[in-house]
Amino acid sequence: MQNSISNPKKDLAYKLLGVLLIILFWQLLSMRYLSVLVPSPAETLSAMKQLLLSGEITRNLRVSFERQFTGLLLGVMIGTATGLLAGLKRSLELMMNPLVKCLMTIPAVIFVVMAMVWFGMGSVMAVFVVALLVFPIMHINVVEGFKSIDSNYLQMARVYRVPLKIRFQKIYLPGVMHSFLAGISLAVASSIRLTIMAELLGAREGMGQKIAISRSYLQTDHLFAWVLVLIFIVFALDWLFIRPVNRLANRWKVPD
Amino acid sequence: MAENPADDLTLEIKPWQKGDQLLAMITSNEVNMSATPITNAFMLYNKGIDIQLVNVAVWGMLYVLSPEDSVQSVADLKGKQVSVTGQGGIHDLVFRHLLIQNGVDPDKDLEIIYLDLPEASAKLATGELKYAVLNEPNSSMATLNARKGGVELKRVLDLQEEWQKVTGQEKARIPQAGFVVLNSEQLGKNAVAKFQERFSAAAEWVNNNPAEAGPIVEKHFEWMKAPAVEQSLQYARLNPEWAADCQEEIEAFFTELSKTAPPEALGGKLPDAEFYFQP
Repeated sequence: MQNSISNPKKDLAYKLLGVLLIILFWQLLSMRYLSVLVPSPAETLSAMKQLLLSGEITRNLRVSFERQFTGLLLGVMIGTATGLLAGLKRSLELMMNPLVKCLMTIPAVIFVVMAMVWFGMGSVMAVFVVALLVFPIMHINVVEGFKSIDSNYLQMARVYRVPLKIRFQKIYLPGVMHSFLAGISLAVASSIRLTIMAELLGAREGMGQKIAISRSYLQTDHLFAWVLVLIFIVFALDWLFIRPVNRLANRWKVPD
Repeated sequence: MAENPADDLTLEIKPWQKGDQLLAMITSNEVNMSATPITNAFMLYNKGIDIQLVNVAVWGMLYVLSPEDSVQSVADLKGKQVSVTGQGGIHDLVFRHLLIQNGVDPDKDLEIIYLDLPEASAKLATGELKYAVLNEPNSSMATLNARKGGVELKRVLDLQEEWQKVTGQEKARIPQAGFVVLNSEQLGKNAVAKFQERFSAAAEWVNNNPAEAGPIVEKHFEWMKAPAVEQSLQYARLNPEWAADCQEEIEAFFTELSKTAPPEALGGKLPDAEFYFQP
């Protein structure tokens, strides 16, 4: 709460105004340019209706979601496991540092292109890319969590020779929880983008592939419709998942 | 393409890879003319772009390549894995049409995988892939690349011949790619006529002198190696004709193709007569 006189209703009104301005601007652009360049909001909605009625949206959403979820799950599990180990053992953290740095710096599209050659087109490739790039996010966050633990607690545990199990339950887990949950919400958001990108280049079905096909058939209205669907999903996920997780994460936050 | 510095028709070549790159070049007025697959020209025209087809430059240059001799007809591909370049593009549409007309279900009776040229070429060379639908000069590039690895690729099926069998028309051709003119009013009929004249002459020269043509092509498009270009010209059916003269043939071909192809692959419908540039 940076703003002491923040009013939730007023905030919402401004956001809605922002949305209206985007739509207005979009409408103006579409009036100025051919529909193959910028389809109007109405054309986009009618394309979306068509995609919904034909069942294409549901079918491809399911495919993309399965890939995203599997990749996310794998990446979170691996990243959390290595993060915990690296948090406990500094030598391991240092050894893993180059790998994690590489994964974070190399543009994701390069992994997609390479994974296509290694695994061919389709689900395996998409899941691999999502897992591979979610992994460093989780790893870094969990390691950071360890660093945020008050060193007094650790010293006390050492002095009193607290068993590892108790140390985990009472010190490490609560200490790491906040960064872990923050990592999850970051991982969810990037896993959507990664799935779409992987599908765009190398899949036979899924939302990303539908976007690629609309692009090659110059069906810009369909392309816009898919993007709109994507925006709805990201917003829905944000409200249903990421925000609650962040609230939960803040509860675990150790007051300074 | 042969250059003639004495000619007053100056030409600048700009390569494009994807349909929307061409669209970007068109809307930003970057080019006056473009080489493009006919299907792409249909799409652009049907989306309201001021574009006309000037000529059909190459006809039916699609082949199934394989190191094996066992495939002699389209139906022999049943149960095989075949790679195709460009999902939903003209190669895919023609290949699927031929499969369906030969009683082969493209989604059930065989496995189609979509690979671009470098991937298909690499997999053919290692023997990992046995069948690939490729156009010229890609098929020649793949052949030469595979030879390095000791694999000898053959053009086991000529899709234009298969098309003739399916339609029962001995002389049927696949109008594959040609040149379009954008905002033809702006460029003027004379310039287009001059282009067509020079292009036809150059095509004839290239067909007669493939060995000399190779290095010239490589100079402009470095990924098309001279030996591949030379081999390719035997199979490319480079034979430019005014589009207006083959309107019927083009329409007949795409009417047949749209029996199996989704309408959106052609931009919704066959274009009207305005589409064909009148010299």
